[in-house]
Amino acid sequence: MTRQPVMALADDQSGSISSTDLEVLRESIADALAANCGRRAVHAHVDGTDNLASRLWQMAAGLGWLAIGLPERFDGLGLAEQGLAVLHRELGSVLAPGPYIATLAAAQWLAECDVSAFAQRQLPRVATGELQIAVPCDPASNRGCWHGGRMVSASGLLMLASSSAELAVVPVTGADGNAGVALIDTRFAEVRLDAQSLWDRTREVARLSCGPIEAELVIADPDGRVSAALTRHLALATANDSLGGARSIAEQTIGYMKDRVQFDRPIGAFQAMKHRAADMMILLEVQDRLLDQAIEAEQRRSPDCDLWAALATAGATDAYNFIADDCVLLHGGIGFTWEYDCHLFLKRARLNAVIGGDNAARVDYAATALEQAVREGRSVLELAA
Amino acid sequence: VILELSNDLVAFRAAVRGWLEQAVPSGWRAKLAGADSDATVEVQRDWIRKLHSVGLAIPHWPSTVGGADLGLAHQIIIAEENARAAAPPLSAYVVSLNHVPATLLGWGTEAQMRRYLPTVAEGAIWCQGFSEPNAGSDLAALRTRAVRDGDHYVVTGQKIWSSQSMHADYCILLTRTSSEGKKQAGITYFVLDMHAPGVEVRPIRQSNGRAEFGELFLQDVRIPVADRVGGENEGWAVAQSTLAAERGVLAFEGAERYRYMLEAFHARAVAEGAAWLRDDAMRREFMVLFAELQATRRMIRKLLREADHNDAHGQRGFSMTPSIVKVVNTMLKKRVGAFMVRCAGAAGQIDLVGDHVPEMNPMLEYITTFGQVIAAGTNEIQRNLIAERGLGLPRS
Repeated sequence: MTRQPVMALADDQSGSISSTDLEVLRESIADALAANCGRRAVHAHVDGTDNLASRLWQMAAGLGWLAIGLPERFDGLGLAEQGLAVLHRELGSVLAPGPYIATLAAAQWLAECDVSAFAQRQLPRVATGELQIAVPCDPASNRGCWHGGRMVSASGLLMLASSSAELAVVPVTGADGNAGVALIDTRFAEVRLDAQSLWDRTREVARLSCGPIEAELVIADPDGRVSAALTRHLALATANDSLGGARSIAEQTIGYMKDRVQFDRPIGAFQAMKHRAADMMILLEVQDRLLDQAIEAEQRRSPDCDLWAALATAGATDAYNFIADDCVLLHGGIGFTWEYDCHLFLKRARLNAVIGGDNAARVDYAATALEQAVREGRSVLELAA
Repeated sequence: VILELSNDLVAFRAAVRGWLEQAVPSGWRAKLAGADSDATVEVQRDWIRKLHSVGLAIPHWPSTVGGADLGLAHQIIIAEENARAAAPPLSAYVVSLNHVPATLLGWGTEAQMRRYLPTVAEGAIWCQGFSEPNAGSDLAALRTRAVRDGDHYVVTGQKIWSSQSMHADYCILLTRTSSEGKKQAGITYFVLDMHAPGVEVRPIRQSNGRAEFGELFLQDVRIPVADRVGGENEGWAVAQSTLAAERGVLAFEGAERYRYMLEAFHARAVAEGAAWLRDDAMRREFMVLFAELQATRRMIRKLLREADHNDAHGQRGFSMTPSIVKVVNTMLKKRVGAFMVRCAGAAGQIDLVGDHVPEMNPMLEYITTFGQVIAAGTNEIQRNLIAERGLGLPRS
């Protein structure tokens, strides 16, 4: 395990990273996870006999993973969405426990907001693993109240976070209808972050409540763009985690179909089973390419990046649920046990499908954005030559 | 003049676009909407000759057989620009432009290449004599017999699902020359002159009302030995090269055209305030199709880059991607077709004829897609290939 491969990439100042460099990054992450986040370790974490999440977080910080997406001015590696995609995919494929989606999406969002002094103070602490950030499970519906100035309050907002998250991102609405996004320091005595136990034990959520307190910062969001950007970063992280997880459980299940013998032959020799395996691969290929589209739009700062992130995330999380669901069934009885991995993927898939809003809302958002583009006489389907 | 710009892709694209703007015959689509297949073939024959007059019909073929030695990047540009300009699609030339070169460039003799490949740009239509009534998905079970007689083979049998065969000048033909050993080991590949004595073609009327397929009846047809492609009993390996052609640029141009069709459909709905846009379920369904269309376009681009890279490096291993593309692309068209049929409501069920046939005909599009799902290896066969050869699941 070495820092070398990730750090070497930081020399590349260009906007887009070569596929060879991304492959080097992927291999270095996959190797470290294979050694430190295997099935046994994940099951021990799920059973509460080991705190893999905190060990993994320390390792991730040490290896520079938490700095992958951030711009260099915040001590990041500047690999942006392409680099983050690789990381979340690998984390998803091994069911890595920890607050990666929330913290890294929030950090990426904050780096883009026009709050440089605050970001300069906080973001380098994300890169070193000191700071975890809580975000609302659904930024559109989990909102706090804005009492003017920097005064905000919140009541039982469902946050994607461990109770040790030091900073919470909270969309707020004032009595006058003004919208903003508040950054709240959760260490104040007036702030409560109550951990909830989740079906997906590789993740943590907590309910955030606070009486009117002074936030660190409130970013005005009159047209909803600030909170849309947060949703987009959350969506991309979730989509990558989903496709990593979906491919992983699909491959594991296909392996099982080669080994499990019934009626004197491997169950994978039956055409009905083969076609289900083929359909999983077909679905994954479609969703991989759709997510490529969203990552490319993000990397190019296209006006259509919100539209593609919404469609790709709806597609990826639907695919994850379909595949995780079918993989339980393809395993037969053993797929229904606590001991096998199937249920861990299934539960993670269910949670992923509701992070940042539900899929109907994502697709409706994209439909509206598409109609707007048509009225502006713009095609969202142009591809680089 | 256009080909002289081939070193500069941007200038090349601009030149292709500029030429197409004035060259595409106006109103061809409206003219052909209710026309018979003779008229359709005539429009396409004129168009391929026009393309060839500026070197754009077969520019990626070797210059020794009439091409210009251009690579994949140029081929992609030409296909994209043809789609953008809504030029007549060369559907009658699918075999001529894809299967024939894929076969002859790999297996043909020097004489076969020089004699047959230039016929394509001159407008010759080729058809495929592969499937038989009892050899569909199980192609190697074919029974059309070829018996050696001096410097000829005498061929007797029946072929089916042979697209454009009633218009064809030539046919790439699979025959049985031996019944010994594995059924794949007794197959021989020929070029057949469709005007030879003993060849009879009967059109097959399809469920969309059109007759693009034909049935071939071969009775004691004499084929010169010089028209055998590859060795006797080597035809199965040759046929693999032919079938590989179904997995490339062919799908690319189709998907590019589909992009403009779907965008136009949506833009018209927005402009007219179509009812389905206000129906949450319908609008969501459309957005999923729209997203998958873009994913499919990217998938085909990736496939072409991979295939080009593998060709350049002499890598010939099995890839699942062509089978995945085939299934995704055809099922997407079928779903889009069904969606548009629903949007068209009861009026969309009126089967208009003659001059009244609209350019955009949802039921015709939808019914036609079934042929694509079944052709070129049914989607069930593609799933077998993905599972067995791609994923390593045991053969049944």
